Amino acid sequence: MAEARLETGDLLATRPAGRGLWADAWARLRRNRAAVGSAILLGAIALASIVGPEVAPHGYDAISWDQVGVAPDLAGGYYFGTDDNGRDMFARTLFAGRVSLTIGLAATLVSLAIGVAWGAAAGYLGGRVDAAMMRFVDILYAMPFLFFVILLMVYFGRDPLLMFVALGAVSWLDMARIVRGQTLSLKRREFIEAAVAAGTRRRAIITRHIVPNCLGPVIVYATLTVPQIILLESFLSFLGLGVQEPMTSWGVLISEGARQVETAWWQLIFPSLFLATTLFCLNFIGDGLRDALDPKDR
Amino acid sequence: MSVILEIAGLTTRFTTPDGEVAAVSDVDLVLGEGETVGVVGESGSGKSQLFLSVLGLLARNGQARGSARFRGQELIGLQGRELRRLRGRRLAMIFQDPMTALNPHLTVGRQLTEVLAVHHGLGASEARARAIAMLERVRIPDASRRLGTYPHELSGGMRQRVMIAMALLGEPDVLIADEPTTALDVTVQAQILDVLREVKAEFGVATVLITHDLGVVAGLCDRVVVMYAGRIVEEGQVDLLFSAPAHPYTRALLGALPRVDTDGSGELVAIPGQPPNLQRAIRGCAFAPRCPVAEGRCGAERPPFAALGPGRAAACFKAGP
Amino acid sequence: MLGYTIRRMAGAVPTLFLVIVVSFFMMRLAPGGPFDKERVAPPEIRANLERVYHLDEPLWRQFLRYLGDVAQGDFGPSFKYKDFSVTQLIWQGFPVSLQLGGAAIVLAAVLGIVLGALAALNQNRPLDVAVMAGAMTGIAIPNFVLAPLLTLVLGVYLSWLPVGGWGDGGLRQAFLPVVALALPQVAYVARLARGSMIEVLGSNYIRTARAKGLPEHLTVARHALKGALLPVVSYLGPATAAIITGSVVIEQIFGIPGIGRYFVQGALNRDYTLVMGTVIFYGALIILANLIVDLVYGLLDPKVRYD
Repeated sequence: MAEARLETGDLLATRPAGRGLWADAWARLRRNRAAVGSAILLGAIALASIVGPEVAPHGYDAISWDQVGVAPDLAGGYYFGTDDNGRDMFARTLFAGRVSLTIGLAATLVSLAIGVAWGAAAGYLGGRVDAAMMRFVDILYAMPFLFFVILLMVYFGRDPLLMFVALGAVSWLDMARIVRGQTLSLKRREFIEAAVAAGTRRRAIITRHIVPNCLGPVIVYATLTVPQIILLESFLSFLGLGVQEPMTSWGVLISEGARQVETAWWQLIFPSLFLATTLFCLNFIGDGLRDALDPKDR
Repeated sequence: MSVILEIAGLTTRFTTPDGEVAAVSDVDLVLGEGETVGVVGESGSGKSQLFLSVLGLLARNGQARGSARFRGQELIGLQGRELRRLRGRRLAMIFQDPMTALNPHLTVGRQLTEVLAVHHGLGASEARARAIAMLERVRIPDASRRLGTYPHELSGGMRQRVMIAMALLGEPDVLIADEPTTALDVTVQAQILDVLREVKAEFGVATVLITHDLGVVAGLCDRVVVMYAGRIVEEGQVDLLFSAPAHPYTRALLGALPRVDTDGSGELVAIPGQPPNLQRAIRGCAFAPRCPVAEGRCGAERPPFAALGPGRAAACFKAGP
Repeated sequence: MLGYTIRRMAGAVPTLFLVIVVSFFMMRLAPGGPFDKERVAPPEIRANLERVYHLDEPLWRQFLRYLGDVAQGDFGPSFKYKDFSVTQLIWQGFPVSLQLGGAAIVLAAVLGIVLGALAALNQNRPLDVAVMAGAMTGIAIPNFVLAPLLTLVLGVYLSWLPVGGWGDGGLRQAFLPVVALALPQVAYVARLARGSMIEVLGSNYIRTARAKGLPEHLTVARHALKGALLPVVSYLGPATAAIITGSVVIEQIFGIPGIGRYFVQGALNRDYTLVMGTVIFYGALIILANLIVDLVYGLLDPKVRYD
């Protein structure tokens, strides 16, 4: 007997309105308190680095011979104390932040550019070209790169541009591998075949399908590359091979502070604190992004 | 026939970041000694989670409530040594994908003999001998050499047979086979079903066969239980259920089966709609939105799982052939 | 397994070759270096250089000559330490660096695995959170920051340990440098071991092991551990490389007479042969470490071993 059929809308417990991949990831990221907190903290440090040296009571390179090696002195405006040249540590630490963060960002962009181009080309071209390109990456991967960077810096001078390139060149390998893997798996996915079958032009396929799908891992790795670069730069600066006077970076400050550790603890603590916190935050954010964009990875 | 496993009011919920999912909802089920019961349902019907709950093998975010008694002993909430004494020894479970269900880093022999060592206290040489004997029983040739191989060196069908052997070595009273043929080729499926049939004949183990494939059920089971959205919707003797299904869902499932004995001119009838989202509480009958004969009260009240005759029951207000 | 071994060893050769090539050409091209044609140098020195380095020969010949020397373990004389050959200097520093680095790797591996496994077995409970927080700290804080900080606390304020020097390599002297060197790698290994263990514990075959009624300690020790450790073993290659690299800075900070110190001083003193020699030596060590790790991995993974 035909009864009135119940409309699907009445009863069917509907799924939440289909959230796109990005909205989903964003929601997951927002739930990650460590990542959110880190982002806020990082923002604060960046802001302080940009604005701080301008508004600090003393200039970052202003020398006062009567204030040499002074402990933190709130009244006198030397919040973080002074170094052995009588320069204000507060302004210097924040200024160093500008340098370290900029280098981190710039070199990451270099590494991104090289890595994505290399990986996408290898993945897309496939076959023997791919094999050769990735073999090259494998060989480079096994080399003790850091030593060559040091040698580069020693032999060819301390040109900041050279340093960007050197740092970026050291870190593109992982990015290339990731992008190549993504490109390969995307090439084989059905929706690409469907797009090709529907007659979509190659350029459209690349921009509308391949790029958005690669974006996720690329963002994650870029975020995790920045702290690696900052670390490398600090390492070089610590050895006296990185940023040179009058510029300064956290690595330089830490190097100077380490030498005075027994007598002037503040020269070591503050730059170390800033560096460590920045690296912490970047790693948390990177991990958070990775969890948000690829839940299987948890 | 005496009851060996009795499940009553079993409900299993999973806590996810997006909410709570009721995978199994108030299920009653009885298994008799030596009986073979088929549990049929689509993916997400809760059929696997039901028995994972019984054995305490749920994922970390799962919680089972209700009762599942094995020979009178309550299993839900059982922990530690008590539970481990029963698992593998009295109740054994084999899983869907033998490639991932077997440990790729240990030899087949090791995975077989440890059951004997743990549950029967056998020494190495005797355990080896029994393992070889069991491999031969499940028709794996060259058994003694196989003991030293790793799972990835075997074919899919052989791996599943190893799983069956592994389960039987404990000499269980209940064997739960979770989709044992799903991951295999059709021809291999038939071989595995043969093995299960022989096992049933020889050992008389009470068996639960979980599957989404009605064809598998027909040849092997005495009774069938149909699940939908975490609930049992119909139950009965296999012949009766197949010839005269009482629940609209069962009817739809049978109607959707491609058959070799028709002339192929009719359309395959797919069931319209989708299974419900288990994150939301379901009002009334879970199948109502897709049911061709649903009426007003189907959406408001959950139909009770009521007997329709000896050994027959269905959860439907309009049950009947 | 044999094929795998041969392939891995064959792969190491081009890498080592590349290291030597790059080092050689970097040295030759460095402006202001001894080989710079622009340099005005006293004739005796020039004559000396030309004799020792065969500068009259074509470049490729010079390279082959250098290659041959390196193959026999001769890196040439040091520029700065006139009485010593680079090989002698490396040989002097190697035992110390080996002690330092070796202890650090062992510490990183053992402590990292133990902490990571414990964290995984207590997932989301206080121990796990503590271990992960510690690991994050180890990763974020560079060893050249950690070293002076540790020195400050343990050496200066608490005066428990000496602040520098190596002495005879005894425990008191070695503690700070080894710990400072190892800590970041302990963190990486712990994180990796934890993640890997958690993944394995969630896998189907662990569910099977539990379904068989195996006691939990057997499930973990026999079934879970092997699978969980494979990624960790793989990581030990890069971990060793990181420790070798990091030792350069640690030796500098603590004044330890190892190869790293020669490398840094060589770099700053423009002692080209010394720097090249140490770079090639380090490179060879890293390549060797990766090779050994790969081979060990091959032995442990049945899919590789029995193919």
